[in-house]
Parts: sequence; structure tokens; C-alpha cells
Amino acid sequence: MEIINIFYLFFVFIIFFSINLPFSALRLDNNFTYIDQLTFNIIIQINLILFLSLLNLPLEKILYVYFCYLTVCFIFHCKNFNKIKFTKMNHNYFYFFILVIFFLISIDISYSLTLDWDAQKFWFFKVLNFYNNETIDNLVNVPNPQYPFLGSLLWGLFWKISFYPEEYTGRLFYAFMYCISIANLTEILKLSKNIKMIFYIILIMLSYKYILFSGGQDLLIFCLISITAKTFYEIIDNKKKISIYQFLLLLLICNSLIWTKQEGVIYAFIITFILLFFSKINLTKSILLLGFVAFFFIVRILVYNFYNLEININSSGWNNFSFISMVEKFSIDRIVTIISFFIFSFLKNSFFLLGLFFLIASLLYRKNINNNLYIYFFYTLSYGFIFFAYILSDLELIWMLKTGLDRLIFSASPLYILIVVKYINAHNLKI
Amino acid sequence: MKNNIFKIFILVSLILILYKNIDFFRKGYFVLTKDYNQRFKESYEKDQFSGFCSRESHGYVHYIKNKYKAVESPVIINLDQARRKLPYWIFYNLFGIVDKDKLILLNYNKSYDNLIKNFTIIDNHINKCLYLEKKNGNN
Repeated sequence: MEIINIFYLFFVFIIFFSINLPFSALRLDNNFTYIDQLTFNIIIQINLILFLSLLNLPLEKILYVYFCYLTVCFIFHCKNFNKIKFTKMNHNYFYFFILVIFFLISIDISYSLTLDWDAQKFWFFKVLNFYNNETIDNLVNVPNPQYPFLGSLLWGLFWKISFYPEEYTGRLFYAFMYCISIANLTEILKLSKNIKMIFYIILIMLSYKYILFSGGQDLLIFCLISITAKTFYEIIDNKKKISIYQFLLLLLICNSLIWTKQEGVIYAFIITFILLFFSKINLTKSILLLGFVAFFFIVRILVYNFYNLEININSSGWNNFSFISMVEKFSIDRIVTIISFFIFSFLKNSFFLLGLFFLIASLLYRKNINNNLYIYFFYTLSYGFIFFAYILSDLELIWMLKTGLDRLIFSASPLYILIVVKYINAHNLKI
Repeated sequence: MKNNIFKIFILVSLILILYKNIDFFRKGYFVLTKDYNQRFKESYEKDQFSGFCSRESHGYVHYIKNKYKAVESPVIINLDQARRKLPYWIFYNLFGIVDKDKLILLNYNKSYDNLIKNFTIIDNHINKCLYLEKKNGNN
């Protein structure tokens, strides 16, 4: 029964996320792979689900509208049947391979079952809010109402769709998203399919841990940043103009980040700044991009105010912002503690170590160094933000670092893989 | 051709290593042979913060939910000296919805006898985890 449910959910994910927006069926980019389509549709559909939840609809009604949307798109596709491009048969075994990995992770989730501390304390109560057909309006009655809820909403939605009534079935969506986002990183490699699959499995081996799937939201941030990393590579490294799809994709990723975790807001703005400073984007698009991301952030504040959800960060561990208190917190002790925890977390992060290895190799062969500027920019801002968040925290510093830093480093880590991929592509390695 | 066979060999080997790392075959076998409740109990027994009837006692709370078909969560009190999370979420109810006539006491010992004098014991696990119901007429 549970095994059948896993296969059922996999096919639900594949079918739902294969249904394109009507116009994209006619105007797909030639370089669009099936993974690109899936990714684009995932991002569009999670934003649609988010938008419906903001209208204060309960989950059953969200599902109803969501199915209507899928049906309309499907009918449109049937009408334009001759215009739809199907994937080539020789690509299919890669998708079968993703199914194998998804099945493997799903078995681990359905066996291990435990929820992590944060999930038990507040994320899962948000899930229960939606699962029990309450709306965003009622989130004020669950712990930590100031936290974003997109991940919990999706967890609740796919739990509802599943025919096995236990919560872990909703978390299988995270496994699917993880498989697709790693596949996204793999697609950048200019190598044969077999090598891409080997690279894919190495990335899974390096990054997979059950704890990531135990209800925390860092995995979703990781997935969204992985998708962003691929788009950065296409726009910045390939020196191409940003297409309408990439523009829309990045905007919706920024919106998803804003609604997934508190630090998602920072990542959304960092992504925007990278595009503004490092890509060939014209002035109109720059203003539009920055304007939209700011607009999404303002919408979040307005929605939280409208539904009386807290928006201040005081309740999350930052209480005292007086100048004297802030200066006092910048003690040598605290700085050294944070830096030492950073070093330990880096050493535990396989993507960082892999990236570092290839960065050193790049330095030795004097290749790619300048092209990595946007990656350094991303990490300088991200880690700078994390550093300041910790140093200004009023909670016990060591406890905060022990419980949170590894996860934060992990969620920002996909861009390290770009260093690896760029090295391999630049050296035209014949494997 | 030889090169391709070598790549496929590497790929299959890596998949097998991954399966071995995740312990897929053992876990897959248990997913097939053990029901969800049993796996839940065993998973939290291995958890450093929990157990069946120790620390956060997820196993016992889950057992009560299933045995007594409790729809609403009873009030849960953990008498452990250490600070513990209360696993209300196991009942899949909205936050704050509890059946105030029922009580689950975790990590109970005889020194807390006063606490249960107005309650009838419905379930008792080694005098350490109790499921209680308020006696009629008591508040």
C-alpha cells in the first residue's frame, strides 16, 4: 500500500508538473529540456498555490482551483496536440534514473519518519493548519506566526492528495523537488548522458541526509537556489541575454524564497543584485526585476499585516537593537566563536569541499577565476548576512550555532557546484 | 564500446553504493513488512530526544492515539526534569485543540500521586507513562 502510494505520488508529480502553461506549449525555447519544463512548471504551480492561499482559501478549495487550472492547461494541450514537443526516447532513461533515486529517498523517508526539532515545534503545526482545512487567517493561532508558510502549504497539499493518510507522504514532494533540482545542476555539464548520470549520483551521495527531509525548510531553499544556479550559468557564464522564461523563472523563484523562510528574503535580493551587476540585462528589465522583487516583499508584509500575523523579527531571537547593545555584541569572543563554527560547518559541507578543490585547481590552471565573481559575491553577501544574524542574536550563541549553522550553509551551497561544472566545461574534459 | 561499458559499470557501482549507504534493502523490506505504527514507534525509540516511554515519549503518545482511537489530543504533561517538547502534533489536530477530560502523563513517578487522584487510569505503562480520564464531576 505505501509502496504503491510512493509510485502514485511520483506519477502525480510528473504528470502535474509536465503540464505547461498554455502559451509555453507554443513558444518553448529550443534549448528547453524536459527538466527545464518540469522546473518551470513546479515554480509556476507552487506560486499559483501560494497565490490561492493568500486569498484565504482552505486547502480543499485551493486543490479544486488547482485541478481546474491543470485541466484547462491539459485541454489546451490536447487542442494543440501536434505542436507539443515530446522528449526524445533516448532521454527517457535519465528520467527513469530520477525515479530510481526518488524511490530510494522515499523509502528512507517512509522508514525513518522522525520530524526534526523545528518541524515538531512550528512547521508541522502550519501543515496541520492547512491539512485541517483552515486558512492563512488561522495561522495567527499556531506557533511562530511570523514564519513564512509556503513549504508547509505544499507539504499539506500533497499529503491531502495522497491516498495514504500519514504526514510523511506530503514530504515526498520535497524528495521530488530535490531530485529535480540536482538534475538541474547536472544538466549544465557539457558531457555525455552517462557521465551526467554519474555526476548526478555523486551529488546525491554528497548531499543526501535524512535529516534534510525531516520537515525543515532548508531543503526547499537549497532546491530553489540550485535552480537559480543553473539559470545564472546560462545567463552570466554563457553571456546570453535573459529570456522572458528565465526572467519569469527568477522572479517566481524570488517570490518562493520570500515565502519559504525568513532568510529567503535576503537570498531573493542577492539574486536580484547578481542579475543587475553581472548579467547582460537592460535598464528596463533591471528596474522591472528590482521593482517586482521589492513588490513581492511588500506584498508579504501587507499580507502579514492584513491577517495579523507578526512580521517583526524580535520574537525570533533579536530583541535589542540599541546601538550600545549592538556594539557590545561585537566582542572578540563572539566573533571567534562564530568563525570557528563557520569553519567546522564548511568542513562538514561536501559541496563546499568539492567546490574548494576545483577552485584551487582553477587557480593553478589560471582559468575561470574572473567568471566566478558572481559566485564570490553571492557567498560574501549570504555569509555576511548569516554572520551578522548570529552576532546580533540575543539567544545563547553556541546553541544557535550548533543547531542552525550547518543547515544554513547547506541551503546556500548549490553555487559551489557551479565552480565544479565550470571547471569541467572549460577544460573540455573528455571523459 | 569498452568506454561505455566502463561508464555503465561505474554508474551501477555508484547506485549500489548509494543503496548500501542509505540501507535501502533493509529499510525497503521493513516498509513492506511492518506497518506505519510499528515503524513510527521504532524510529522514535532510536531518537536521542525520545523513546517509547522515556524523554519525549512519542511512542507512547502514538500508541494511545491508535489503541483508543483518540481523535482529539488529551492534555499531555511531561514530568521529566529536563525541558521537553510535547508531541501534540501526533494527533494531527489543529494547534491548541485538546480534550481536557483526558490526560497523558509522561515520565511519571509516585511523588506525583496528588496529580492523578481525580483521574481514572485507563492505561498504565510500567508506572511511568499513564493515560487518564477525569472522574465524573471533577474539574
